[in-house]
Order: sequence, then C-alpha cells, then structure tokens
Amino acid sequence: MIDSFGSAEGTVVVDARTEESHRLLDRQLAKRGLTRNSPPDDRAQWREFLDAVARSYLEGEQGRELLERSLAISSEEMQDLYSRQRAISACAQALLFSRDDEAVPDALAAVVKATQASCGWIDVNVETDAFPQAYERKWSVCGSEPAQGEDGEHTSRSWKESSVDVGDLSQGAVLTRLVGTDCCDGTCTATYVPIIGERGWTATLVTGALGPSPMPPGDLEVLRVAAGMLGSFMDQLEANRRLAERQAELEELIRSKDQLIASISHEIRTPLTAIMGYARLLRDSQLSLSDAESEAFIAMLVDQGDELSNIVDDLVVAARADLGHLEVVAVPIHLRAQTNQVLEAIDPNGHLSVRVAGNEVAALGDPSRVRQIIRNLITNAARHGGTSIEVALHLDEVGAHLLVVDDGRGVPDGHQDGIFEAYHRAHAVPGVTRSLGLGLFLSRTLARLMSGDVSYRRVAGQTIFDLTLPTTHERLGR
Amino acid sequence: MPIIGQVGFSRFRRSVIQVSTVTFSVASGWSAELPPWNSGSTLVLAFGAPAFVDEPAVWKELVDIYPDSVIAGCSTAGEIEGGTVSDDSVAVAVTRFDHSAVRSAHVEIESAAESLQAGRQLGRELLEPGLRAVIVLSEGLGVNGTDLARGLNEVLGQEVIVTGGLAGDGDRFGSTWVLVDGEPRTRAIVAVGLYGDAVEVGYGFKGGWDIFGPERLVTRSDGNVLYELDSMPALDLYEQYLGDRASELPASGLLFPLALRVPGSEGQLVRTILAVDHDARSMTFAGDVPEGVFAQLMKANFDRLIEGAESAALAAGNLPVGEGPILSLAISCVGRRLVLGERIEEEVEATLGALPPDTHQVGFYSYGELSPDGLGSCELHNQTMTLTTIGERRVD
Repeated sequence: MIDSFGSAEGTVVVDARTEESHRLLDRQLAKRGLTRNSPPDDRAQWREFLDAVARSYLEGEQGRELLERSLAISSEEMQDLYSRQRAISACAQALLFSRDDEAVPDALAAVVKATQASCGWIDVNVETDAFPQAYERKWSVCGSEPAQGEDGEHTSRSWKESSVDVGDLSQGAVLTRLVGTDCCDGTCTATYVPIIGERGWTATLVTGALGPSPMPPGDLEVLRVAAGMLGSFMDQLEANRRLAERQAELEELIRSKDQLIASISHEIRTPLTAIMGYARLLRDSQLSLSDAESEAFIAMLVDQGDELSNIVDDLVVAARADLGHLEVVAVPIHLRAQTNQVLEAIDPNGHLSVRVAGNEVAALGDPSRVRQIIRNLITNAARHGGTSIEVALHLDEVGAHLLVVDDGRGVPDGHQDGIFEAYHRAHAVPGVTRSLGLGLFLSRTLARLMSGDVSYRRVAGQTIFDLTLPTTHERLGR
Repeated sequence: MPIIGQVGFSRFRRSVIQVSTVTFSVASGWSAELPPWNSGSTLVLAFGAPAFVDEPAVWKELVDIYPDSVIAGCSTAGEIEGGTVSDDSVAVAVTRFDHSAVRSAHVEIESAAESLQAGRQLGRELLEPGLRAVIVLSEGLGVNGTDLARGLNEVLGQEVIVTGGLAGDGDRFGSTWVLVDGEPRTRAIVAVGLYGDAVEVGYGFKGGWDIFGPERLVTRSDGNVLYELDSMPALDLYEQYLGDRASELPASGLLFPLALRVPGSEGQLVRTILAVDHDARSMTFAGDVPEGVFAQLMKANFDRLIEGAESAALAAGNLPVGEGPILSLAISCVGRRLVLGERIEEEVEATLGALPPDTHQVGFYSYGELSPDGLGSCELHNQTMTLTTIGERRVD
C-alpha cells in the first residue's frame, strides 16, 4: 500500500508494506487518533506528536548514557574487587602453605601490591599485654622487595615515641597517621591495622602510601582481611613454637628420667655394694676376724644401710610431692636437738667435723621432715662445700633460722636459680659421688609445706643455706 | 441484587459481581457516567493526581453518588485505567459485590515510627469472621512500609491476603494523601476488608530489574534511613553513578534501586528511594535497610520489566472465577514509571493482555507495593508491578 502525506513542501510517500512500525510509535499515533496512514491534519497535533517522539528519543539517549556510565563505573569496581581478591588469595596462599615466618614478607608484598600503599611493615609487640610498651619491626617491604636496612633489625622501639594510640589499636581500631618512612624518602600516610589473634593484639600491619590521602575503603578491607590471616598464621606459629618447646621439654624429661634411673642405680649400688661386700666378708671370714674388725664392719653395714634408707626416703617424698600427696604435721621442736640427732645418725664418729653454734632455737615443724632437711643440707655441704661446715642457729623477726655454712666455692654461676629444682645438679666434681639432685628441691618443698623456706646466699666467701621455720616461743613456753 | 430465574427459589439465584472503571480530568470531565451501584457492598477505589487534593467537587460527587459505599483511594505518581497511564486524572473503579461484604478502617500516623502500631490497629479493626482479603492504601512518605506490613501480619496471619501500596506524589516526593470515606487526608492509612466465601482474590508481583556491580555491606543505617555502604556515604555512591542526573535526586535515584540480601541467604528484597539528605549524606528508602545486610545496585532492563508485569498478571489472574467480570488493581512502582518513560503503557497493556477478557483494570504508580510473599505473609516490595485481582464466585 502506498499513501501520500500532503505538506507545504510537497508530498511524502510512505510504503507501509516494506517498513515495520515500532510499537511505541504506533502507541504515540494511536493516543492522538492517528495511524501511519492517517497523518495529523493540524500543526498543533503534529507538534504534540513530535514532542512525544522527541521525548522518546531523549529518554532512550539518557537511558543509554546512564547505562554506559553505570557499566563503566561498575566494571572498574569489579576490576578493583578482582585485584583485591587476587591479592588476598596470594596472601592466603603464601601463609597457608608455610610452616615458618619466611612466608610473611611474601604475604606483605601481596598486600602492598594490591593496595595504594608503596610500602608496608609488621611491628610485633615485645610484650603481649593489652598495652605493650614496645614493638619490634620484624618484616618490611618496599614495593615488592624487602626494604633495605629493616629486616633482621629486631631493635625494640617504644610505642610512646610513636603518635599511635595503643589503646585504640588493642581494641581493633584502624588508625591513620602521617609518618616519615625509612624507605620511601619522605612523608607518607600510614595505616595501622591491628593483628589480633588468640593472645589478643600481638602485632600491627602497617602500610604507607605517599601523600596525605587516606586508604580507600576497598583497600582497607584488604588490609583487614590480611591482618586477620596474619593473626591466624601467627597463632599457628605460636602453637608450633609451643609444641616444639613442649616436645623439647618432653625429650629433656625423658633424658632426665634416664639420668635419674642411672643416678638411682648408682646411688643405690654404692651403699648396696658396700653392704654386700661387708656382709660377704663377715660370712666368709667370721672366724679369722677380730671383734674390733667385726664391729667396724657391722658399723659400716649400718652406715650404708642408713644411706640407702635416706635415698629411698628422698625418692618417696619426691614422688609424693609430684603427686601432691605430701603432708606434714606442725609440732614444737628444738632445732639444735634435731641437728644433733641428724649428726649422730650420719656422722656418729665425727668425721665431718660439723660445728653447731648458737643457743637452742624453738620452731614449729614436722620433726622427721625437719631432720630430713637438715640431713640434706649437711650432706650437701659435705659433698659439694668446703672443709669447714658449721650449723648456726638464731631467731629473728622472720622466724627460726638454721644456717648450714661452709667455706666452699658455692653454687656455680648460672645454676643459682635452678638448684632448688628437682633433679638439678649444679656440681660435677670429679671424684665426688654424683647425687640425685633431689636434696635441695625436697628441702625447700618440705620447708614451704611447714610455712618456712630454704634459701641460698653467699656472704663473705661463705656458702649459706638458710632453713627458716615459724617460731613457737609462746607455745613452747606454755 | 440481580436475580436470575424465578423469584423465591434461592437455588436459581446467581451471584454476579459488577465492575466499571471511569476517569475524570479537569479538562474533559468524566469519561463515562458513573454507574448507579450504590450499596453497602459497593467498593469505590479512586486514584488521583496529587493536585486533586484541592478539587473537593470531584470527591463530593463520588460521596453523593455512593453514600453507602466504601470509598477509598490515594494520590499517585501516575493513574492507571485500562491500558493507559495519565498524570492529571482520577481513575475510578466501582465494584458492586453481590454475595460479599466490604468494610473499611483507617488510622492516622504522625511519623514512620508509628507504622507497626498502625498495621496492628487496622488488622484488629477489620478482623472478623469471613475476612478474605485486605487492600491497604497508605501515606507514601511518612511511613515505614516494612513495619506496616509486619503489624498487619501479626494480627491477620497468613490466611488473609493483604495487598496494596503507598501513595505517590509524582516524582516530587513532597506530600501524599489518602482518600478516607471520600475525603483526601494526609498522614492517613486506609484499609478495605473483603468478606465472604464468594469473593476470590488473586495476587502477583514481579520486578524484572537486573542486579549489577559488587555487593556492598550496609555499615550504617537506622530503620529505613541508609547512611553508609562499605563505610562510605551511600549518597556519594548514587551521585557517582548518576553523574549529571544526581541533581534530579531523589527521583533519579529510582533508576538504581537497591537489592538487599541477608548474609547466608539467596533471596533478595528490593528497596526504592524516597528522599535524600544532602547534609547527612543519607538516603531514605520505603522500607528497612538493616545494618549487616548486603546491598547491590539494580538497573532497568525494559523488556524484562514488561515481561515482569505480564508475569505478575498471569499469577494474579489465575482465579477460579468462571463467568463474571474481574477487577484488576494494578499498583506499580514510580521507579518503573521513571525508567519506562514514554513506554510506560507497555506494562499496563501487558498486564491487561495477560488477564481474562472481562477484566477491568485500575491502579496507580506508587512509592511502595504491598503483596504476600511466597509464604503468604504480606511484605513491602519496591520497584515491582503488583496486581490484585478481585472476582466473585457464582453462588447457585
């Protein structure tokens, strides 16, 4: 069908058979009672129609522009998101497959690369308290390379000298400060993100970006995620470290137990060998021994039996202490009398030349345990101390004191803190019988159970082990 | 009441709903004579351009003709009648039920904070045996549609169908009104209850918008006021995307509705913008935007919008009505109006085309739509075409 549309300029021919109409155009026409084959009669209607068509064009154009704009912005955002995701993935990959902290610089470099930062570092708190005083810069990168002159420098730096509020950091806040950097030749905006793990705030991930602009939110999100991963990684490292320590302790314990068994064997064998030797001699040579010799041998048997008994006593007490089953009684005792009783038992012939000085001192304690302590201290002095041994007694405001003093060289340096630990042996003197390393541990344990203590000190070239016990003046007086 | 067959034999009585739609404009008057169907079971729905708040003669005429009927309606961002959309008219649907009852209730609210209580009160006033459906027409700006729907759900449960919408004010977002007993009132919410076994109500809603770009976390909000996305002012994001058209905010914000997703879930709710505060850099939406949910921008796809409207109609039109006319109440979002522009009538034509032949359509462009979700509870929707179809089953 061919129609003609008359106008001042001439005739427009419309071929409706070959052109498909847009339904919007059809609607515009229909609203005005028109069809493609019946154009408007008057100019006003024509203008109204054109306005409607123009609006449609304008809307289409605006819609297209808005769509293009939104897609461009959105595409950029998605690209940023993808970059950050890759960075987080690289950070996770570096940390996930590593068992030591060598992976941290790689993770740090991935974070710096993904953000607007030009450098980054990790400050590890020296203390793990809520408000540590200092930190060490353990890792740092500039670009993707380790920063020069930073790594390996584990010098403590004071938080007080920085402008950072450690209270805020410990609560998980992200802080931004203008700081001078060692690597970027100038001032940069540093973003501090706390690394918080099972032990609380332990370290801080810091990134520096040139210029005064704060880190964009997307980059901050990357830093937060990275800090979270670093926190978990450091927890894992700490757990590994504790596990290794525990393993070393267990290995040391096994070694100690082996040594203990060896020591016990040795300690028991020595008196046992003597006992067996004297016993066989008495059995085999009974008729040819004089009375004096027999008495001497029997005395030796008794001495070695006592020694054996003392060793067994110590082991039993140590085992009970280990299990927490050690109990004591508290009764009034006289320390001088107890000392004499011990000396009669361990040195009936006075070979040790132990001098007891001072008046009788009353104390409160368990008599057999007190004697065990005194015996251990005197035996210890005889074994490791000098030739002169003195037991001195006195009272003061602290309590009743029994000092075992000798003129030996004292406890070697480096062992003074450990001499009261179980199975600790500070001395390894050739020719001197090795001990179990239980005497001082048991002495202190027993003394403390009786509300007293045993301490060590060196005064004027003399070694002093000081047994302190509660006094009982009034009770004794009554 | 029309009676078919012999008088006195109820088995020959047949229920026939009557529906008629007409429009009014200042220039042309009424497009047809208003049907003389005044009765206690007649519902008159009237949706008018905002300026008709100052045209009392129109409302008086309605009240005079339908003194015993329920007259409800609201201001719009575009009036729908049949397959056409107008901006300076009143679109009226008169529906006389034969075997069903109609009642209305209304409340006035001073602020959006009263929305939950308003929903409860309307529900309580309408809740009576036989209540099948409630149509809610609400103040469009000073209301929290999410809370309003929650209040209605608390009282009415999932058995009563609740649909409706928030009144509009063109693309100005200045002031809206609601027609209560034939009188336009600001800060009001009206609800119409439909009662009886014969009344059949269908509903459907569909968006048709596409999500795009990254998800962003809502990091600061208060009810329906959104302050920050990903710790950045939400208004900055919209201004960046809108470019020159940012000067047209809040209307131009409708071009990019927000899809909200609760972490761990797949479903999304759509929120449309109602207002902006340039000083606070905040945006007010028609429903809640809770902190901790993910938000994603949406953009229009013309064909999908129109297909969406058609889908809504197909869902709503699935009524076991049999013979007799159907009223289609079409409530569509002002955002769709803004995007579709000169093409807006395509969506109302699409809905009408998908409904049975004897369907009479009336409705409006709104600031928020109310319709049941998949579980039957009423929810606030945004950027959707929401259809409610009303018919009446024949009773022999």
